[in-house]
Amino acid sequence: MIEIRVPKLNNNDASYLLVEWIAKDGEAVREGDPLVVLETSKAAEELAAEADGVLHRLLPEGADCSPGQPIAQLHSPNTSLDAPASATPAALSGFSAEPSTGPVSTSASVAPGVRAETAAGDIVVTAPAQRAMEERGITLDQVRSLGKKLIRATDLDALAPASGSLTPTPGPLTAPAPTTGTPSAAAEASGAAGAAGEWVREADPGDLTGGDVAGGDLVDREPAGGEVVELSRGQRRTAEVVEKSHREIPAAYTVIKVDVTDALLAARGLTREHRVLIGVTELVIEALGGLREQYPMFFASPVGGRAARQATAVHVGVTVDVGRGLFIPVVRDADSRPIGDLARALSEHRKTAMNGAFREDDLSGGTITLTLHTDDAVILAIPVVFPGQTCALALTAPQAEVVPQRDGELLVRKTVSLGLAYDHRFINGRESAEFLRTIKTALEGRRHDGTAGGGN
Amino acid sequence: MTVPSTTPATEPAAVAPRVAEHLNRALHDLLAADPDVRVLGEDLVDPYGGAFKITRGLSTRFGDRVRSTPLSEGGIVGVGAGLALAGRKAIVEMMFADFVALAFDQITNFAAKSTSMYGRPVPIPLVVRCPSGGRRGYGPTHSQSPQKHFIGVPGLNIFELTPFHDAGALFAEMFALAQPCLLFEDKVLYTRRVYRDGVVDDLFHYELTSSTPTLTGGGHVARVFADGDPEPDCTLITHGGSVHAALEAMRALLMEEDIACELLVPARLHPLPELPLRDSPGLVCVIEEGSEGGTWGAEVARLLYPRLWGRLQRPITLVSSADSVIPAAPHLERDTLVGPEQIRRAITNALG
Repeated sequence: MIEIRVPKLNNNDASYLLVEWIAKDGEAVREGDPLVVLETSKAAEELAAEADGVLHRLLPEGADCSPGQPIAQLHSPNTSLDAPASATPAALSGFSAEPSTGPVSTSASVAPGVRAETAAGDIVVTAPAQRAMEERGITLDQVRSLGKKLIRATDLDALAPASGSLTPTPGPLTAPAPTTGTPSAAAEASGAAGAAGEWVREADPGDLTGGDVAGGDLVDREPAGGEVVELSRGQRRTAEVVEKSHREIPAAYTVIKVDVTDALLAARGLTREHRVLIGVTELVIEALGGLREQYPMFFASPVGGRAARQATAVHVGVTVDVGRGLFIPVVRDADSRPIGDLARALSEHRKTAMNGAFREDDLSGGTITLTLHTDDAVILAIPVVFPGQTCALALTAPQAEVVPQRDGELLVRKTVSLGLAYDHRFINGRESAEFLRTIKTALEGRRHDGTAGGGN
Repeated sequence: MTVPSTTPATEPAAVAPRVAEHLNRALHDLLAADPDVRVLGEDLVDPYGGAFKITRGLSTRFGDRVRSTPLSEGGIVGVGAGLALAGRKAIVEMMFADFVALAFDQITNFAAKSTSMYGRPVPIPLVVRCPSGGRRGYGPTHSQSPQKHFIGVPGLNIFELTPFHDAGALFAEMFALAQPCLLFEDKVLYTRRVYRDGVVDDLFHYELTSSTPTLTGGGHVARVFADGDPEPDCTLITHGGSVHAALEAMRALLMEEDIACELLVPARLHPLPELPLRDSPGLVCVIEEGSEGGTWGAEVARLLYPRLWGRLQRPITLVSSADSVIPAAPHLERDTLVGPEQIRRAITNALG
């Protein structure tokens, strides 16, 4: 089963309007088929099916929905449909069904759009009241008899414990993750929750049909250990990449110090000349552009563990994280474009990171990665080698240091740490140092007027 | 005007309009009803229709009563005040509230003083609209909430749009005062829907309390309360732009900690109207997005202390944004501006 969640469509709106379902409820749809029209404050957006499946809507037309909220499910065509329909009464009545919270939200964080989720859609029980009900053996039916919609702990004082049910509900309560278990098991679980106000532990993981095993495993069986927080979609993607890297790439690391005193001055001149911000990062990208022929293995892509395909161009992935997740947009053709163009491309990527959404094109095709560590307290950072590449550079912010001269004078210079994490199957320490030194020479040979001097 | 009938089976009327649409509609109605009204501002004229599209369609419909002006906030407000002095009603748009600093002199020294320094009361029906507030990643000079700088200027009124108050009624109230008014409009609020029929969501309701006639007047105050209207542990007071942050904090406090809050939202920030406070309001907490120091909240507290003295168990809690310029990077901006988490923390700390 695939859950269809509302993507973040723009920066400005906290919620969007679900204008129209294009696909019918219960209809079999193909990947890419348009499903639904969402309206932001500025535009209408169509969402397409991510895969083949049978559509099960969770929200009616005309409802508001917020980014991240599930609005529909796609079931594999051979599962029965009525099961999930009854599995999420809260979602059907317009409340968002947060996968990791139970019928009563006990989340400690204040997530946007946190909705009260009532067991049967008619009353709202606060978390302290919920705990008091468990302790005192009070049932939901008793609570309903109070005739209130909102139930707080103090409201329970009017109630005696249910006769003969002084034993609290056995075991710690854990909400079933809606996405685990077979649809029918989940339906039974949540159905029971809706009817009796109790909910059961997750279904037997052995019965899982879809690809949601990990989600099920994440559900904490011992609530005493605190809340389980699911990663955002972006962070999940990051997690997959670094896991793969860690599993497959035997990495080693070399780091050198580079004097960028002159390079910084040169960068200021270049900034004026090209009317775009140029700093050490841009100079490193430019330097990388000239290194492919001399160091082909550093830009190659592993083919199995014993061969590598050489790159035909230098495309540099650069890390960007403005607080909305880590992205590695790619600056293309560093070997054939002037530095002004490269700087502009990077600047565009930064703007996208702040204000928009990257396209898949922006993020793919890198032949080498440059990770930036802009906090000026960072002296060393070891990047993860991106799967499909053989190495990743790490660049820190410039730091000032005092160097005694022969004549006793003191000279202040600016340095950065330039590191290289490399796949040791393809690159050895000696080459890594040579590669770094070549970049160092290019940076240190920068003259104040901005031209590339020294080097090779 | 025909609307293409591609809209689906939902009844469009069932969906409340977004605040921006609501405000735009109110301006249309106002210009249609009152031929004296003029609208001035930068890039107002169609097809652009203003930076936030609040004036969309006005120039097409009302011609030169709606004018785009040169980029000079002092000049625009001066012209608006002059129009008002000469008997028209003027609405002036600042593209961003941050720029109203450029018109400070015209507002405080010309418009506000003109009401009372000619030996007889002179009506100055002038409204300066100021799109304010952050949380959009616009950086230090396009994200501010400068309401506090205009508090305590004789003859000047500060209003703020809320999702509860009818914008048309607010314009009527402001023009009826016959004094210059600043109308702050939170940019994030523009994209949210107005609340109608007393319903906020599944858990909260609201009502507009009728104002008790006081010397200063001041219209209706919106009161938001949990279902069943329980005696509040805490009374929150805020302005339109922080309503949603306050509501989120209220929801979390109620659902997770059983703390019931009541929220009061005046549309008029200064002079402050009579607030419908209970005899035992619990903890009183004033929330605002403006930066710390010399705040609106401090002014509210100054007015409430004598009234509540003896009935307060704790000092009034003031929650404002950090004493900092507003960063452009969203994660840093989030830490700087008042959000639900800061409000919740302030309240649990004060009650704990």
